[in-house]
Amino acid sequence: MLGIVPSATLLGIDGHAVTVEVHCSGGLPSFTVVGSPDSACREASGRVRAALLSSGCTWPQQRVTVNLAPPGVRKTGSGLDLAIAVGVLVASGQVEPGAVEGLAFLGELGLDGSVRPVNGTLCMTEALGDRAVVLPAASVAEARVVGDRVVHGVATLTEVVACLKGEQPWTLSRDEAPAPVLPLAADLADVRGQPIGRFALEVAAAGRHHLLLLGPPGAGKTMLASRLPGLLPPLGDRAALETTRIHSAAGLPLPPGGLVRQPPFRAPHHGASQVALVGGGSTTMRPGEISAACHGVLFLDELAEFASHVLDALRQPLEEGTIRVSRAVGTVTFPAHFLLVAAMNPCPCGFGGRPGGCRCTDAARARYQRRLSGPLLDRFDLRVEVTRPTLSDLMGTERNEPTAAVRERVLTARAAAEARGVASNAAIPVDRLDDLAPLHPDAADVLAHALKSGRLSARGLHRVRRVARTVADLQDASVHEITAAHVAVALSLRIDAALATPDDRLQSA
Amino acid sequence: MTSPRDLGFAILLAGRDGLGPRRLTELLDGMGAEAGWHEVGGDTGADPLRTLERHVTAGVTTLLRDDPRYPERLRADQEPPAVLFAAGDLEALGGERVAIVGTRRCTGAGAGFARELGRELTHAGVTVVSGLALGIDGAAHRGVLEAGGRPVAVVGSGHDVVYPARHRELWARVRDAGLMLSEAPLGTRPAAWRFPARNRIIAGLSHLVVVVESHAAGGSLLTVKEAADRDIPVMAVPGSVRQPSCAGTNRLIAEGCAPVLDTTDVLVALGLTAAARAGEVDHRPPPDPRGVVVLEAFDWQPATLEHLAVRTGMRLPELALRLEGLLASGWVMAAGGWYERVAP
Repeated sequence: MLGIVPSATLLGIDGHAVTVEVHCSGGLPSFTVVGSPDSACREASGRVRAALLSSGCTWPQQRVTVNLAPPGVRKTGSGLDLAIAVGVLVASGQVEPGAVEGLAFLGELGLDGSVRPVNGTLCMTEALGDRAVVLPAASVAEARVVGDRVVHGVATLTEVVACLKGEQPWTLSRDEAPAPVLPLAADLADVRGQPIGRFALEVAAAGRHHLLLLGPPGAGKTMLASRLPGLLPPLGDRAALETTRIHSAAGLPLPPGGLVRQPPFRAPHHGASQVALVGGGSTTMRPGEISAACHGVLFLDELAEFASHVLDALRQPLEEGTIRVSRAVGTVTFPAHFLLVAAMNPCPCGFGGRPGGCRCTDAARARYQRRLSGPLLDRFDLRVEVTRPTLSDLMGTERNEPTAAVRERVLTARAAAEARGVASNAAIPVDRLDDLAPLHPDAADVLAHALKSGRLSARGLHRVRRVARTVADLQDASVHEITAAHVAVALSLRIDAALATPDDRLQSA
Repeated sequence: MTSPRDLGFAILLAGRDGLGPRRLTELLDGMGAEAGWHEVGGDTGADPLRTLERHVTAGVTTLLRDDPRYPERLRADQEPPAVLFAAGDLEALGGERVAIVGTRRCTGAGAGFARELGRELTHAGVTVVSGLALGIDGAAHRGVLEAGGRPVAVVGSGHDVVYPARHRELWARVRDAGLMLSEAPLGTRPAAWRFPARNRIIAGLSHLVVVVESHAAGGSLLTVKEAADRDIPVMAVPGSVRQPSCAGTNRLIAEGCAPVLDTTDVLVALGLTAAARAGEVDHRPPPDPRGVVVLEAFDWQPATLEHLAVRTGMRLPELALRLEGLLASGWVMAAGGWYERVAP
């Protein structure tokens, strides 16, 4: 007897439809799974058998063959368990073939017969076309994110069998009221003093400029960085869907409503491996932290402590907004469109930013500087020195602007950028800079002097112009021409991250 | 006079790993260069004449203590270099000599003062000796070159091994215009122990040592000790008590070193009359009133944008614009995220 049950598997962040075919025939009792299953899939035999028996069904004492079609696609994970169990039930005659008409099944089975959630339910549901999907109750909200879809949430295999036999109706999924957006605990008003640091966050949020915070330990770099997501607008539909798919595939917890609306904040530790950061893995192709931060903020604390090959892997995503990962199982392209914030000490002792303040040996300092390549540091449009807040800052009662107030300005500036036809000011192409950010002659003078004195490189020039555009937008979005003041602010927010000793500067004087 | 063969062996010995100045002297005095080379197990196939030839072609003169060109003052030293390599003009060692030393990690103000001192001492006919290190040393040499003088540098590596790499150009300029001395033959990499060793030569060559900026612990304080051992007077430039790189120099003054407030103090200590200062006019355009507010917010300390914003109370666009103006006209210099006021 043959049982045919539709299901799906996950590769990267895409679901692929899988047809589970179960065949029972005479011969010595055995259970074989074919069709490129990975080890978790192959172990399904143990789980499915125990679950069927725990649910009061019988296990066919026959030669059972399970084929996961199409064979070319590698089947990963335990999400096919439920479909295999239903297939076995159909093939052994315990359930009518007609009962599974128009249904697809997703879910992992526990030995007690419970149906459990798996990673990537959203992505896999998308691959199932128009069918109604039977999946774990906990994943219902997630699956309903994608359009109007009939989903049946189930908790146990017993429930599935009962519904298939017609003994009870499927649980109808109800339209949940949209979950309230919780206010972020991290408010900008918590930051004491540090007016330049706070302003840099505003500019970063308004123009999507990557930000580097430099300063000694205890300066509050981490605190500043964690305030940035609150300044970003909630995700639009397209971005929210993309981010939700990535989070689903990565197994990250989703908000109650199913859709991720708040820009994510990911802060991987500097000991993270390249695979953890960028994505991959030998069998499962999980999205990495940079993809989990898609449309949100990726915060790299202690940038110099990251392994250099890990930082090198960031170049493609920073340039293109995607990361391509190739393995033996295949090549997957993950979206990785994030706003990068990094924090760094200027040197191992932390005090090297201040002239004459460094206590490191030359060798230690040189080794530290070598780890950060010029091209990576160059990617940051904003590089800001942050110093420890003073005692009067910390003990004072004056509260700085709250996140909500700053976000207003950020949203206005963003709207101005979008009205010009670019996704953000950081993305203005070089050939359109003169169009969208024309320079007043005084502004051009300031830039010319900075170029001549070596404070600015040719590539840095374009970045500074984009930041100047954002600064202008924050001040008054209707202003078209960039003034000298705007350019001066942009220059002051992009300090030279390499430690310069004073005699380098005197050399050119 | 030593034979070329012996000279060659002396060079080979000087380049041998693990042979410090004292042991080298013992070997040369005790059994001579050739025997000494075999004593330490040197390669018997080594060609001393070719080694000497290499140095001569590179413009490096090898001096042993019995050579008449060997600096007189070093010959009488308590621990003279057994082998000294010189490139450039040995006449540059004539007259009064002042060593200018200090930390590699100095402030712009300190570097500026070292440069000024180098310049003005040269104008007064005094020879300046330093170590070609980053920071104070480099600034002092630059000052001497600016005034058209002959800088004297004592380095810890071979003449062809530029250290630090950032001083490549300065290295060449000092060699061409002045004198470069080393205890190490060509090709010797800068080992850690060679720097304190070369500091004693800097001290030994000088009539006076001036420390411009030093952290509480640092190589320049070793030079001070070497000077004290040789009864050579040491002077120090006072600095802000808030500045870590002035902690060492301030302590020297507290312990009795004479302070240097300007070049005249050094000249007086040398027993020379103060040279007339070449009338230095400040060529910089004066800043406007708001620019002056920013300048005064510095308090002659390095400051970040944030410090200036808080102290002046200016809004960022105006502050940034004024700062750009001051940078353009030379009143302020930028190093990383910090800004420093520049003295005339």
